[in-house]
Amino acid sequence: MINKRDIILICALLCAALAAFAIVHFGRQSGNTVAVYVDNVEYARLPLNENGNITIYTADGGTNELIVHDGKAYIKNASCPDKICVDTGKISKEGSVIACLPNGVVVVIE
Amino acid sequence: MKRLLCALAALSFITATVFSVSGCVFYASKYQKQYIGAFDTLTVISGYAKSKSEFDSVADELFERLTEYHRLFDIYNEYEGINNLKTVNDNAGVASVEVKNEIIELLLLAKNMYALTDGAVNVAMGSVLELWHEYRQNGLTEPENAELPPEDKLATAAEHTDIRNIVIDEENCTVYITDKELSIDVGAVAKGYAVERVCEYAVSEGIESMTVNVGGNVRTIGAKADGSDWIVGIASPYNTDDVLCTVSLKDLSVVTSGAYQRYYEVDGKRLHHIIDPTTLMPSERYISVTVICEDSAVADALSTALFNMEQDDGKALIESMEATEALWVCADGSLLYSSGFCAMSDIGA
Repeated sequence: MINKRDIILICALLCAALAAFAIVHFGRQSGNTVAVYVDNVEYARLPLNENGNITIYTADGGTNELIVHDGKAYIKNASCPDKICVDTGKISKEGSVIACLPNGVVVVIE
Repeated sequence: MKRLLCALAALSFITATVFSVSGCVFYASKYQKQYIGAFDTLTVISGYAKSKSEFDSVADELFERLTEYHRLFDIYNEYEGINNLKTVNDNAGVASVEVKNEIIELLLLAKNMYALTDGAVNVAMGSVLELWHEYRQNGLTEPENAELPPEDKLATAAEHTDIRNIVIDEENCTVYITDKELSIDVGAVAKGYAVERVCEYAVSEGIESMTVNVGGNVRTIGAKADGSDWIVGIASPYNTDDVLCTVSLKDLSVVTSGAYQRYYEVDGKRLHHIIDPTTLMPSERYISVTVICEDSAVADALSTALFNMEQDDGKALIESMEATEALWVCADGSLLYSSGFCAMSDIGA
């Protein structure tokens, strides 16, 4: 017969499983790190959940100003001629990318 | 004892549920890696693997191969120790050039696509595209002095675009351009071809679940690890950050050609990079054309060809091809689909 202790045990297991599911499942949906690559080499990593900013300096003198604000990352200013990286806007989901081809810069949520 | 059994049963049930729902994390997690360089664009490779290091080594190898293809098909730069398409162009009217088999294969495919589309995609249009390229670059550097290429210059260049003057000798692996003024530009097929070849390599290495996206040329290998289709967003022609729709793919490619991708402006008028072989001007029928089929090289060539074809002709061509679908975003914003497109997308869903 199932008694009270069994129910508690099952409930505890269920909670643990749900927690594991939440970590695995939702953990992937919105990433938690902003990774910056210059010429395909890792340049910097910033937590997505903390406001911050850095200026990315490339080898040939290019710059991209990266802002992290309210869980979203975006390029505010850049030295490139096309400004596609600025126009891309804000990213927050895991796997989302901002690329600046002229400067060889990739910003990705990991 | 009974309690233990009960607990074990509950635990195994819950564990099984969790891991099946969350995508089989036991043996495969999803990874992604992105690169800049090959074909002057962004490459995003994603897929399922047992570990990050395993995934990274495959992705790195694929990117290395893409870079190699880029060097072979480059018409602007020379690379030490290889004969590429620049070498072939530089020897137009002078000599035949011995090239790697990949160049022969690409040019044969390009000739087939030319025949299939009645010349709507022509890799022998280099002289015309060069003119546009020059005027576009000038227009982007000095927008106030942006100009159209003069008509007489375009007409003269167009006299040297006969694809039959690209002579391919398969046996000896050589290419000879018999017209001194003709030049090859494989911009409409090279990316797609390279993506197809590297994905073929990935499959031969045992990869079962991966997507390779080189500047919007997307090739899917297999399905996702849980067996469901890959969902690929088709970029909105109005806002690159947005998607027009999504398509569900398994072992298929999708390529979009868009008027919004590369352009310059003259007196407020946008001039994009897809040049109609008949008018020698940017084709204005559509804003974007998307093609889905298995072979990424075919999808790439077709998306450019359809851009230059009337709706009826383009639709008839797509309907005549097996397992090939297309979506046209017309100049007035209306959408036109091939018969099987909606079933593969979330349009109207």
